[in-house]
Amino acid sequence: MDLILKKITKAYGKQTVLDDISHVFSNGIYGLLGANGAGKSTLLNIICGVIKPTSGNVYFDEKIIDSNLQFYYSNLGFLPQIFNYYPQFTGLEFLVYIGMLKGLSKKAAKDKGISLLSLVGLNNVEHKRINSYSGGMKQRLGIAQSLINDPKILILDEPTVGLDPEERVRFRNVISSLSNNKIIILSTHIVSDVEYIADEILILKDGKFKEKGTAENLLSTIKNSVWEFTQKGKTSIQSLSNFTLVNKKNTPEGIIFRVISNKKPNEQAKKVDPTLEDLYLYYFSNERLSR
Amino acid sequence: MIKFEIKKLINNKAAIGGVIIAILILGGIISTFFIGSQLEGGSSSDPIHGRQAIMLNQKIAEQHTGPLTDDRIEKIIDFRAETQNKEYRKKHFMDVFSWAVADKFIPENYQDKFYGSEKVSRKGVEIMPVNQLGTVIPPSKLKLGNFAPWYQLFSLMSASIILISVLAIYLCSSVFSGDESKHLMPLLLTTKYGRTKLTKSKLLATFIISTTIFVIVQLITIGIFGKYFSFSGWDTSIQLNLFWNIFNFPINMNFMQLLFWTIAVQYLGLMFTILITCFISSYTKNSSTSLAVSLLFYFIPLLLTIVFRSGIISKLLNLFPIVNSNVQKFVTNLSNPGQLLFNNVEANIILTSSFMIFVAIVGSVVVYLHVKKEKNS
Ligand SMILES: Nc1ncnc2c1ncn2[C@@H]1O[C@H](COP(=O)(O)OP(=O)(O)OP(=O)(O)O)[C@@H](O)[C@H]1O
Ligand SMILES: [Mg+2]
Repeated sequence: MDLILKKITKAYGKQTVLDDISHVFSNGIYGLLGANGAGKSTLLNIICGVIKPTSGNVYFDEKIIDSNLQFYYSNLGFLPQIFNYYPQFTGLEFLVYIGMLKGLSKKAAKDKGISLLSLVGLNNVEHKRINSYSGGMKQRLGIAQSLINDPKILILDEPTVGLDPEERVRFRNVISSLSNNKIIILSTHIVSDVEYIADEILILKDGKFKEKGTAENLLSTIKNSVWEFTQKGKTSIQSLSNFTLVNKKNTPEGIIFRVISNKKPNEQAKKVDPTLEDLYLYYFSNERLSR
Repeated sequence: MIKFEIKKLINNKAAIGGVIIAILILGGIISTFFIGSQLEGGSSSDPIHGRQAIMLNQKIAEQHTGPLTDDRIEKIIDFRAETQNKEYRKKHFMDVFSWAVADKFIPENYQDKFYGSEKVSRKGVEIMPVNQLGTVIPPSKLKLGNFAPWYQLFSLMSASIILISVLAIYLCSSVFSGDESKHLMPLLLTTKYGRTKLTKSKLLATFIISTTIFVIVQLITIGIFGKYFSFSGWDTSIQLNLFWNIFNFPINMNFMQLLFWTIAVQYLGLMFTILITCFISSYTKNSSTSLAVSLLFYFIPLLLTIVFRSGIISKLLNLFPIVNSNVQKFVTNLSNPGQLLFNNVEANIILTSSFMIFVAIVGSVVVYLHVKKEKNS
């Protein structure tokens, strides 16, 4: 059962946020990368049937999702980017509530809730009120609620925001363990969240998927174009032309510049192995001077 | 699921604060209308006051209970003259029953003569015959009795229903908009039952909360009324509540019947109000807006009655709960059919009730469909 986007366009007034996007999602993990305001949340909300696209349709199991929302939602888990909890609920109560809304019996929701809370490492606070949770704990509760109906399609809008490095790793492991028979789409602007687990990475820019493919595919596009060089003392930004600056590191020896350029940018520059981070910055860096 | 919805609405500081304030106001209303009433007599330094005054008033009224006849009125006025002279005036005792009868049946120009400068005197004072009251029902078919406590009860109920409604609006107005302002709609709407069963649970939760408030407040007030005044006078004709001037009310009805009627009309009105509140809540984005709009909508017909005193708009305003929950206004309107849309009492009651039921049903269906199809553009 595939999830298919057909010619999705979304405009707010004159601003076109999504421009004629089509894509087929089969089982696997999809990493949606994009800068702030690129339209990631808009796209995910359209996929979930919360926002109406200006044109185009979303299909699941070969039917337009609106034709049988209840069926579609039975198969969906969604973590919106921002929402607030009912502060007076405990973590477990919240999961039971969402579980029941997703069609589980109270008992089943409770059992599933308890196991999910330990999956995300919240089992010691399951009976504490949510208003005593930290930001990262709330985020993990959000991940848990999206999983409670064991959904076929899992949509996570910036699931790793606020998680510490250890929790990030746990999250990645959880997600990759789930991906066998699910379509998982997660948005992020943190490349390392998806670098190793995503089966396909989608780079959203100017309303379109600018690039799509596995991490390796994408990296091959800039394989011979990433360079590093060191400069001593102050360097005026004007002198750095004809390439994309992706990183700048101060060291005792001077400033190490990491750049993307089709040509060798200067004499002392050395070719280095590209990372997805380079690719992301190549597309989204604010400090880009020219292509 | 309903349990969760109720918890969301009432298990928070603002809601509990609201309930506490409402309890305080209810205490104020009860003491104003019951304990502070004329039936209690004047100050506590008077020889007869408090419960004792109430019991004495009740005894006097019960002594003179019966069909409305010239004979009976005359007896009451004689009784008043005699008792006032003998002891009550000295004891500062307010005999509400005989005072009201004398006030109604002794024409204005004889009042001074009756009360005299030193003594109350029947001499040369004319009494209005009962058939000049203008009752639609023959006077002898009407029953005079202990009406004064009932007047207090219905005045209280006209005030307490406003408290009930405002508290219910306060607690329920965030039923949909609370989730919206927490940005929870995307999450809730994308669950299997988020667009269907959830809406029903929410509507049911507001129904349960408002019904509970209604039942508790009515039980408390009617219970205190029974304990304090007893239900003496329950079979008195409502036309002979001499404080109301509804002699031409066309249906034979006693206070107990009117009490049930009032409860039914007020309850329908509350359901109307709450469904409008749910409707507003589902179309607004945050709780304070829905609270403000709902309260405005609840009170606005009352403000409009000040602007439109007659004519079709004034008649239509009588359909709204804030107007028709006032018992005195409701029965007064029914006894002046010119004030209402139809010339016939039954037709007006049916119209008012079916209007409120109709709006409540349409309101819930609209809310249900609205949530079911909700999508941001
Ligand atoms: N309701 C709205 N009305 C008008 N413009 C909107 C609305 N919602 C989003 N936008 C615009 O659409 C664009 C995409 O927003 P969106 O939230 O989808 O971005 P995003 O990629 O999720 O960004 P972020 O990384 O910050 O979450 C932004 O320019 C935003 O200003
Ligand atoms: Mg976003």
